[in-house]
Amino acid sequence: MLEALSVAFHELFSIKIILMIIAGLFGGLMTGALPGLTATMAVALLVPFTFAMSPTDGLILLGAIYMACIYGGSFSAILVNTPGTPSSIGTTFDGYPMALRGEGERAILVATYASVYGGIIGVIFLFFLSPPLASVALQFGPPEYFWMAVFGITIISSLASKNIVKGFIGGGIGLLISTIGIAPIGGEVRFTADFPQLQGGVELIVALIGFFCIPEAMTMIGQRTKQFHLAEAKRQPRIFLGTLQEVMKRQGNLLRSSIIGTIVGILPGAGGSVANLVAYNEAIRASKTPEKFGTGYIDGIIATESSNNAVVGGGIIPLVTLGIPGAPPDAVLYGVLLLHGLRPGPELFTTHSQIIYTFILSLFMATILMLPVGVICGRALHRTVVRLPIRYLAPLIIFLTVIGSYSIRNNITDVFIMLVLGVLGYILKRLGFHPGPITLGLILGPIGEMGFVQALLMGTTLPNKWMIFFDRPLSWVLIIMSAVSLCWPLIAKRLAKGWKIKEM
Amino acid sequence: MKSDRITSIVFILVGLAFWLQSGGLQYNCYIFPRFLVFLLIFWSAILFGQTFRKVRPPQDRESRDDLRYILVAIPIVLVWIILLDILGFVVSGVIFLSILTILLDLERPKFTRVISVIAVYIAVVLAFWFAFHKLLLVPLPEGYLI
Repeated sequence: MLEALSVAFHELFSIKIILMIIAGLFGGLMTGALPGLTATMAVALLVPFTFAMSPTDGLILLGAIYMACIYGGSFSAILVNTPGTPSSIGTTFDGYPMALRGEGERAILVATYASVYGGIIGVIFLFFLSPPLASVALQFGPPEYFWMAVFGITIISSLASKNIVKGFIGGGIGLLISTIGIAPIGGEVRFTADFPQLQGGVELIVALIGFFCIPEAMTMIGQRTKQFHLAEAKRQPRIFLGTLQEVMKRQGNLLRSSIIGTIVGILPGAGGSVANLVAYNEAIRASKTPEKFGTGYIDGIIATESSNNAVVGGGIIPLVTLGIPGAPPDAVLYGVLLLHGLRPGPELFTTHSQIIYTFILSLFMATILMLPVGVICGRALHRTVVRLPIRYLAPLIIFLTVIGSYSIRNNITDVFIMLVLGVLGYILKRLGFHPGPITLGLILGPIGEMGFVQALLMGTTLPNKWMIFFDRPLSWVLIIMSAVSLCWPLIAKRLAKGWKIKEM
Repeated sequence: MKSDRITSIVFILVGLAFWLQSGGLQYNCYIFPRFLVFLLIFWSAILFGQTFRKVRPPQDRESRDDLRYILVAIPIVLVWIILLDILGFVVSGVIFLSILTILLDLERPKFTRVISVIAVYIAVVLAFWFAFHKLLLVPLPEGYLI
């Protein structure tokens, strides 16, 4: 191992590799910032470029793109209230209010520092704890996936604290939209209203763009007579060091969110889209000032951004130890490993240890280099967006939504669906329904349904098939977590009352 | 409150429509959606009930927008999407972006300003077309023109 490590270090500190990482970071940041272009797509698009490279170089480039793409999603989440990737949904909740207050640059810096922190924690776990953590993923069966989805849904009670009922209705709508198309088990076509175009279902990214981007662009259009620019940028002295100190003071939030990101990343099928919302929920629950979340509070950005970048390292753990991709971009990496004649699995660490250690160390280096590259790109993008008049910004956002929704499946129907969902999202927003719970439902619907139906099929071996959901210890852990999460607003009120009485 | 009442009724009807649509499906295909429909109707009924309460839950409403511009913008976007497959990405994109920008301009558009807007958008759309179509090889809508 030590020999492989020393060779990896030697290989990594060359000008060629460093330049390649920087190029990958730059490309990843730009792709991540464009709504609709996901990390999976960015990594997949760049695969042909790696054909001519050695396996190590190819993996290094794709690893840098993956890491930067997840972080780049925060730029559009903060600046235009549109998550660049599903991993940044939670970043819109506090990032955009900060941008509207003229603190967009500070929000981007918070996202940068938190992303670097989360990325490093994820890579550390990948380096030191791969085998034991990978075995946790194997404990997860269909009932656990179902309960994980239920736990995810209970997050709505934190996301929609102003009106929980509307939050759960939004979640229900998202879950129902996710069932449109071919059933995952059984294969029957459902709820398409005889439109064959809907047989493939509603693509998550298309819905995400519709529910977040279009309502925002419409609000800009509707308020065009009231404001000329999105926000006035405030001049903030000592912003780099000041923000760094502020972020680093929140070690508990950083560490907790990074660990959540790593663990969710290890679970196949979950990924950054689930991790950022779970981490956001846990940050609210752990906070003494939960009422500040959603108003432009840096703890919200710290939670989502550190967790989603920790997913990168976490998702690679089952890939390199078991040959199971943790998140969708890891599935593309799986293909790249195969293309270069490397079989993902435990033997990677024995037969190709040098390649795999170079890859892990390159991820570490990419995370560190993300700091300067991210700050430069983030500031430039912030200045552009803030200075751009609304009359240019709103049409350009709609333009990007069309490119993003079309390029997912190269299908014009997706663009129409995006517009319909966008108009629906705008109406719902005006009626007080937040897009967060709706997209949460869309993300968790397929995970929940697959787990639910598969578990019922598994349960046919038991006297009562429904007992399968209560038959395993890990299921009970998730049931208890769900119950606590659901009741947390009430528990938090009681605790707050108790603290007030004590203070008096 | 009146809007919440109407919204809750609409969602109950949406739930019932999903329930009816699931009628001819096999057990494994309808069990999960029906469970969701039950939850949607349950929460919508609670929202309906809340509208009769004297103590009302806090509202999370957006500030008022000028709906006239939104109602003009939506058909423009719709027409653009239809034209994407006819005129192509570049031509339709430049037309759409220019029209919407001129519509949102607070000042009365002068000829030179209109020309500069169109010129800017030709550059922007061509840059995107080159990056996606030529560099990344991501297909973009193609019509009779580019």
